[in-house]
Amino acid sequence: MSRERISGYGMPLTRNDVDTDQIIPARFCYQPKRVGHSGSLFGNWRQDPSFVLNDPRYAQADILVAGREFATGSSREYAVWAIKDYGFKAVIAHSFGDIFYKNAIINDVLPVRTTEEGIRSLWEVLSRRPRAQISIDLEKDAITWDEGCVPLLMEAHYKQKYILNLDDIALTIQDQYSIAAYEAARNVHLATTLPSPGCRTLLSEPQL
Amino acid sequence: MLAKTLVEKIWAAHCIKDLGGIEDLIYIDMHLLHEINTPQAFDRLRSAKRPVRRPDLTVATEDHNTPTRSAVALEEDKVRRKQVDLLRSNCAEFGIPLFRLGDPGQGITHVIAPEQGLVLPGTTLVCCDSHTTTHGAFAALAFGIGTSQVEHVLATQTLRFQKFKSMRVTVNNQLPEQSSAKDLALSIIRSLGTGGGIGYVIEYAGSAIRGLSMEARMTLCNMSVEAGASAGLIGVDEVTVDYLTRTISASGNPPAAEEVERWRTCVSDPGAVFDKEIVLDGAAIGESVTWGTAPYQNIHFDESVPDIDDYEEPSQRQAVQRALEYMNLKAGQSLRDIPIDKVFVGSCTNGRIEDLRTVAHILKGRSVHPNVHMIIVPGSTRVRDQAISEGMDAIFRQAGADFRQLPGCSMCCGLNEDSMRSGQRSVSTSNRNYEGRQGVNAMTHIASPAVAAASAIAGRISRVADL
Repeated sequence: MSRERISGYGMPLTRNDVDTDQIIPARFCYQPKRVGHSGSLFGNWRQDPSFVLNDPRYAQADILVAGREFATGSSREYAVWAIKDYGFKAVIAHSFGDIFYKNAIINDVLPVRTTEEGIRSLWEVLSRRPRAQISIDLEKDAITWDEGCVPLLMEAHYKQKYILNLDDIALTIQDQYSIAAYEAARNVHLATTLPSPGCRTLLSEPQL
Repeated sequence: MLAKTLVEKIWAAHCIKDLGGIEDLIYIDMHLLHEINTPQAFDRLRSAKRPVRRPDLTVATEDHNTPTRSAVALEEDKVRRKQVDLLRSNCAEFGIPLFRLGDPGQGITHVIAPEQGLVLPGTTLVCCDSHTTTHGAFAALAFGIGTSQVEHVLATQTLRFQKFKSMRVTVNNQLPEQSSAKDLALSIIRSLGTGGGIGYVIEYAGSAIRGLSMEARMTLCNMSVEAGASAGLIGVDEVTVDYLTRTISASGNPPAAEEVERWRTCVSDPGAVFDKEIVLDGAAIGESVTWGTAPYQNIHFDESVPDIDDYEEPSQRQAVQRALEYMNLKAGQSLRDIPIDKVFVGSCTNGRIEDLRTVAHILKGRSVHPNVHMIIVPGSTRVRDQAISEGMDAIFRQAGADFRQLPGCSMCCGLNEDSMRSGQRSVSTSNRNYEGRQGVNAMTHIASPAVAAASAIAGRISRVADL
């Protein structure tokens, strides 16, 4: 499958304002690893047997379809790690929290927006036909299934970033001479956290 | 010359390179770390054999999961101890200065950085915490980032970022005497909704903003993220210059005159164009308290808990219904009819000296209601020491409040021992009333320090005027 077009089964999370504290409550964010958080996804809500994550009809789902303002709040990257670990490769929502959106792209989970009407159509088809095949097409700007189609909203540069899936840090290090030149011309009055000649430092003495 | 917004000026001064129209490479002047969201970033640095480029522009503190009664609790708690130990060993290995629990200067990242003079106008600052928006009070572009971006900043002292959209929120007139920056923040969030600020940096302007102290401005900028904004900031004025001059001069090394002149240029030019403009009347800002499970779900004391029939849109009706059920409230209820079990004063939103002074002023000569456990957690060791030097510890003790000795996030995020039990209800000066935020099935009402103190005395949600 190309990175421009991905297909899968959807899971309708029919709620708005799902913040990252719900996606993974803070008390589950104690493992200092990037993987192994699948069991913590929606850690509080999944205690309820009727929660969609426990619905066997959606056991194969790999595209999460949420509502408005998905994953606002805390910056915890654990939210993306838990979604990815559980097996979701994409999240469709009407809007996303800014930090989550960037975290998702960096972690190769595709976050795409659609209209409110688009979300309602997807929730409706998924409640009626849990095994409907959903396709996300970044070239045609469309989210489609056998009987319908809703618009895909994603800024061109984020699409490109997702499709290319490059190592940002390795790329930036290629610009290290530009960074060094910038640093050489930097304002000497700015604060530092370690003593250095001519620079102002912390008011209290931290440990080293 | 084209009139520029403050954010455009900061961006231009930090843009190292235009990355082909997709993103810009921007320089980061200050990077704050804490124990929760950082170990994975250090692990990857180690495996890629990359050093930290600028440990001298980085500082770490222990705040999120640490105990507030005594450091011994941390020794006995394996899971939390491990997170703190990882921060300590990572900082030692990479040469990053660290404020350990209880050290002079330790506290919540967003309380200590301004205290230490680390936040300057026109600079960029990031931290693995969404409330990094706090530092915008100093005309800095400050925003929260994820763990992968922490690794990027540690390795390169830069970020690859797309330009933000700009929004100006102008608040005219002055706030009524009883209303605080917290009430203003809640009102702005209510008018924007959780998503109204997504993709934007908000610049706060107008006479009501000019009338706020630096502490109050930090409270306001702190809450920007609760409207979905990437950052919030306020242009430099004499209040900013005075605060910074005082803070920095305390080191015995006052700021250079040309540096103070540079600070003064950190304002939006007259005629600068914003993508979105919102104007509010400061005089109409009343004391506000959340009734639901998102910060925008807040009301004034003369309003009642909403009814789903006040809303037409199905998704709004569903959200209100769900929030009422979780909060165990009925439509039409008055805030004053809601009895409470806990009051929390603290956090990066309201854990500063001014907040504690407000609370002490109200508690003086009064008693916390017998059904209420009130905890007051200073935002930093400096805030604690200042509070003690002003005699507040005695006032808190005499009123029956539980004044903690170690600073930290405490009950705000429920990661230490201070979380609530199922079914308990708090009034909290923190920033988020999400489901489960302060404990599984615990209910949180966000309010100002004054409302929190009045509620602690009354045993139910109250204003000072009601006492």
